[in-house]
Amino acid sequence: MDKTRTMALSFLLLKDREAFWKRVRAQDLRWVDLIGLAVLIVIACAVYSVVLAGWRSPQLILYVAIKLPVLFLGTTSLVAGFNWMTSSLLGSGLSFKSTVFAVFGAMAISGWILLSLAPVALFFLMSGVPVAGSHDELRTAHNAILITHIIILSLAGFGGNVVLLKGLRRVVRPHCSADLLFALWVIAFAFVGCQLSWILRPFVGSPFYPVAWLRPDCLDRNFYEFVFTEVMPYLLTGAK
Amino acid sequence: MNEDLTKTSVGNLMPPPLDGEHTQKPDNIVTALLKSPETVVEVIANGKNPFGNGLTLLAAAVVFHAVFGLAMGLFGGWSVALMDAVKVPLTALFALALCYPALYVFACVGGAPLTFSRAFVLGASCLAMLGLILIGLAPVAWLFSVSTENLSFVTMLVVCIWGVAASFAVGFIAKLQEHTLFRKGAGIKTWFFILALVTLQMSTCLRPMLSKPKDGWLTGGKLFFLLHFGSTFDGPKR
Repeated sequence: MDKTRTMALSFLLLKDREAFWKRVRAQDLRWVDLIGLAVLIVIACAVYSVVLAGWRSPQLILYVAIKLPVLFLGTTSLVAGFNWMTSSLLGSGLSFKSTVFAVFGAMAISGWILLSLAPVALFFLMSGVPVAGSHDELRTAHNAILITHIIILSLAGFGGNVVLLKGLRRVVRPHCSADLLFALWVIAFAFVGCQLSWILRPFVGSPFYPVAWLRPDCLDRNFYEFVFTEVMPYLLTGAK
Repeated sequence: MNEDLTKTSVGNLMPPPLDGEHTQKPDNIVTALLKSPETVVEVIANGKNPFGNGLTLLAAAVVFHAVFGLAMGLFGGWSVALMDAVKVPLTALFALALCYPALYVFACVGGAPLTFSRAFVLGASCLAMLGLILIGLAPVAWLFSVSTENLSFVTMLVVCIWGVAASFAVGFIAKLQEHTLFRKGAGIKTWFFILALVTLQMSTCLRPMLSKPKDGWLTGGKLFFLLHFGSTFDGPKR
């Protein structure tokens, strides 16, 4: 019996990605197989949420353990239709199911990376970042925490995207540009993901705000309004 | 005739053929790491006796790091040297333990699917390679430790020595790529970068390394490694 058929899909992705992409291309995956990948993503997000929010409070850990999987799986769901349409328009030959598996596969890889780096992140936070002190010390600590998580999440995202790009190059039809398809998917994911993360904030928690499930102004405006009305003027005027 | 002459003269210039002693593979995995790293790569890839080989490499790494710790610790006197003989190997071991899951995952994601046992031997061999170079440079560390009072200089020297050792370990990782199993080694190289960062933070966590602590062996308190290494430049004396 083919060993790759019995291996859980999340492990197959790690140990034999070639076999995974072959199955995506051959449409040899059932919807029920998606559950395994989703479970891995949820576990990875839940474990990482302990690191992400643990410095602030156990209550925030619980919130983030729910919100982080919602962010990742929610963003994927929201862009799933767009992904399939663009792949069809570009003539990739991928079915809707294949596009969903491709994105979930990449996200599962990110999940593996997050899981493997959780001890490292925890160690850095426990040994390098003080959680009490003066206002300035707390601000420095908060920034250090943000930078640590940005680096680790970027690494996980980068790993997942590299796998997705390489996978797309293998599974799309020869005349279809895998790079263009990948770029469109990433742009859509980032565009939606930024807004969803804005709505679902806080994730890391700020020492200057109380712990909350969602910020009271989460639906008042969107992420891009914030960037264009507050961040950009601040940067353009040299923080005056 | 001329052709024969050329052959003879070239033959004279060529190094003597390797005898049995030269072609013999080192029987010890630690010696192999130094003289024939490709043998170690083969051992990792074959996966024979992974725990025996891994533990041998780890034991060697501990001894090498301990000797280096002793040499650099003499900057603060014998009590600091003895403390460092324990702290330096612990720094390396703890860092490796924290980064072990990342080694497994990064190798797999990078395209070199390892088993847990192979990842163990690989991690141990990287640490042993670091230790080998550290022990080679331990006399240099000792010389400067006992002949200078400038903490900033010794800190910089130790970091540089560790950087040299790390570059050799990266070279070893590059050698892995000659084997088909490790042809795609980008994941392992990224992992080593993370290991380096964790080692620096671990050394900060187990500070002080070059001076006597006020009480016990640890200073305590949370500190980021960049701030810690930066602060050593504030005070020039031991």
